[in-house]
Amino acid sequence: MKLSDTTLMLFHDGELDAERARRVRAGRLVDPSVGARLEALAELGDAVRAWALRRDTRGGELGRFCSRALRRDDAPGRGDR
Amino acid sequence: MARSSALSARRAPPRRRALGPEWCAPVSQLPVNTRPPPASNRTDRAAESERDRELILRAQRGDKPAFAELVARHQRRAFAIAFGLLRSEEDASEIVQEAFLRVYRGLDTFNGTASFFTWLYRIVKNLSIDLMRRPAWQRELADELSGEQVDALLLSRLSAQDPEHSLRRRELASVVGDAIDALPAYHRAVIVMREVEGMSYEEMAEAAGVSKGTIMSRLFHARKKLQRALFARYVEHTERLPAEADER
Repeated sequence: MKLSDTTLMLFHDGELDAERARRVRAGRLVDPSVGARLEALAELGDAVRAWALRRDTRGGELGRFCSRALRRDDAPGRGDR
Repeated sequence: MARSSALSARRAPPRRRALGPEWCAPVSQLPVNTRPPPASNRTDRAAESERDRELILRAQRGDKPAFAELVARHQRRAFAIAFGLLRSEEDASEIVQEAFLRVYRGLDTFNGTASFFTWLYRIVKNLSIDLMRRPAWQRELADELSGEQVDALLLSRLSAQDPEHSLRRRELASVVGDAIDALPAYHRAVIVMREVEGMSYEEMAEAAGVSKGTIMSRLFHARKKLQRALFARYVEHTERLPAEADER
């Protein structure tokens, strides 16, 4: 059974329902690449948090970043990618 | 920590508000920069939101114990958000107190179109950003920590027991930082909300004012872009290795 990147992302983020999460856990047992792909997501998250901490400890840069990034005017409309 | 005392010393008078102890108990120190917990399941979230709505309705009718329960249910998460931005327990505690004061004053304006936490999250975030925009706050932090101190602090917080691993993560963080800076703002926002603040898709959708599907798509594409950037850096690094060996 091929598990899509989207499915693994939802599993990683805790957003899958119980049945689909069970299928991912089963797939992980029989396909080592599933574990590797999940590990890649975890590593990426670790790196993002490390980046956030570095910015944060250098004079409130994260605050300025969040201010820009979360400003509603910057976001495109619904359905935009 | 020295920074906390320095920050509190420069502000006079302190912005302590008259929230009684029955509303806002002390928040114990939270672990920082740890991996956010996975989102709880939908059933739990629905039950939590329903309980929040009940408490808000009671609080709107003047039921103070109901408001105290709202505070107790959300103050740790509110503190975590503020602390994640400010890195100061004292500042974060003040922001949380101020946020709950604003919530209390604005209870009548809450109409339930967004979750209580989303409302609180926006208040905490905006108050934190307002504080960080103050020139004095930025100057003092920059003065207090040299570049080496910042790196030492970072390393100790990340993985002090394994320097090689820490260096690798620092390198990764640098690459990720370049890649994040290159992302459009709406991709940066979902990455920060999910990976740094540990928000669920539903919370992100409410905060950004878009659908959960849009959040999922943005997060997917943002991560792919970051992974491609990391991969490109990895290829660049591995191609450089043989040349460096030849030079030696």
